[in-house]
Amino acid sequence: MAPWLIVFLVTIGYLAASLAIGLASGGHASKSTEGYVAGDRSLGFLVMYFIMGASIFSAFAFLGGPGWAYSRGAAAFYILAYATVGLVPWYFFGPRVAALGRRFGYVTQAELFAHRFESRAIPAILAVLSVLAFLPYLMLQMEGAGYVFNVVTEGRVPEWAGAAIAYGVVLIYVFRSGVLGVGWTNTFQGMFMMALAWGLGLYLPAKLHGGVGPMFDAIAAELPDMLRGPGLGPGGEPWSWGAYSSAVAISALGFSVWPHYFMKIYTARDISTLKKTVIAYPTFAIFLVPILFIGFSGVLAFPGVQPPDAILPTIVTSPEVGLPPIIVGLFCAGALAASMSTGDALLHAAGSVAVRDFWGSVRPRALDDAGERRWIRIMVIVFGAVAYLLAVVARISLVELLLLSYGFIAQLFPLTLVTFMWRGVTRAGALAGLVAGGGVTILLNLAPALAWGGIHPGIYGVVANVAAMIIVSRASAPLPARHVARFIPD
Amino acid sequence: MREPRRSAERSDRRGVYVAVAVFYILLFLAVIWPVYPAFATIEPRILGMPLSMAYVVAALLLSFSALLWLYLWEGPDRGAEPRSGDEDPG
Repeated sequence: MAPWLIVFLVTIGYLAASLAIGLASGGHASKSTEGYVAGDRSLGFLVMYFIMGASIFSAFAFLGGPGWAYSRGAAAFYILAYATVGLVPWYFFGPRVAALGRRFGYVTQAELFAHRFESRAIPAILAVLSVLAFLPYLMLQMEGAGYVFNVVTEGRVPEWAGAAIAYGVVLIYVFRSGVLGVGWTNTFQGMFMMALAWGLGLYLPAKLHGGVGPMFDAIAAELPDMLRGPGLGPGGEPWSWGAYSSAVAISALGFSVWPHYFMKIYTARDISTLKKTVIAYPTFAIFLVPILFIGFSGVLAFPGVQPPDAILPTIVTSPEVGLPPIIVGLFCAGALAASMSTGDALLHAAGSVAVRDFWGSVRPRALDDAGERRWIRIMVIVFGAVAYLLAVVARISLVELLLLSYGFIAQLFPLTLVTFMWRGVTRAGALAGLVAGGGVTILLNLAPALAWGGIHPGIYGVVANVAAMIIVSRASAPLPARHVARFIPD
Repeated sequence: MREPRRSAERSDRRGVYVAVAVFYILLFLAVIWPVYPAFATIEPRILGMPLSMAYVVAALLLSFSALLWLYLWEGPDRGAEPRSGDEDPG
């Protein structure tokens, strides 16, 4: 049998297994919106652990992580750095979010803010921003899936077909099973990725350099700047500490409040499960270490690979490494798992926020529970189709929007903190903070020369956000004390 | 006597949570400028990795250990729902 056919069959076997697990898992949830979006608040530690683990293992991490290590050296350590604190805020505010969700029936992030600030504008704004932030991220996952299919089948499966096959499977199980489909397929995909990351991450340095130590010896002798912080910039020039530190900060601030992860707080079975998930999260992040080893293993062995994100498929399929086709097939399945385990959560969340937060604010109580569930499913299909058409058919690049989205999402962090920590914040103050933070982020993205020291525009946005929130809250009418006490007990 | 004791326990617990929060702020500051540059070197090597990488991995492990300690310290209360304010008047 031709090697590419073995690779293709292994990949199809993985997709069939994902589909079977995704479809089988949906039967356990009730036929309500709460069942579809929050899994009836019943997920245990194992599934929660892998759902959050999948947040680390996106197509960006699986392909982009080695690409960063390969082309920018120590700059890639920022991914590990933000993971040290990224999910920790959940330990402190997560139990309160979960308890309020159970009490008041929230299934999305914006529903919490809408209630806290008695505002219909906040969820509508957040819904639009969330979908704008999800879209380029989802497109990146689809492009990654199509690319991997294309490379490992030596061009026989075009990128559009590869992305269509992978995301056809995703759409079917998300449509049918909702968050339970996302959770159980993430568990399967996560185990798969862990095994693959450690297997390849230790094998490739050993095969190409004689081990991890000798690999770093060789790089230190030839290209020492790659191993010293903060590593290299996108053009190979030394990166600035301002850019490195603000990349860590903006990712850490935004990580715990990305809407598609935040709403998973509502899915946890109980508080103890939620806390255990947060504690165990760094053990998943540590799997990025072998992923970065893979990129470093190519620095001297495969110079000049363009684009750098292609380094992992290049190494895996190279005759020098000589991996058997079945292992190459498993790699392909692992890369697809990384893409799909992030893409499914984005699709599910996009459908949920569009219907619950946007439509629910514009036309409150216009839909009954069954109608909401039906429309969320329809919107999952619509967003999947739009992202596919933009990414794979029209091949529109939204990289700028992706950079902007991190800045936007970080603006939710101060709002989350004050929701539980500051009784004095008012509706006008919360809105002013979001508008000022978002406005400054957009402005500095359009005029990067104004962002001093290479610092991420989102950081300036957070500063403006906090300042506007404090000033406007001091000058506007407070919310009723009895209402606020539901969120901040005496 | 029970009420003052409960209040003192609550105050002790709050002190521990504040200490842990401060620890995480310091941990965050330790992986960015101006602390991290002092450790962003190649030597000494740890488990074959340059110090710049091993330092961040150590921070990740420290993060895991600190929250695990807090979880164990919380004891049987760890699974309790947080105190709520007044009941929803509807």
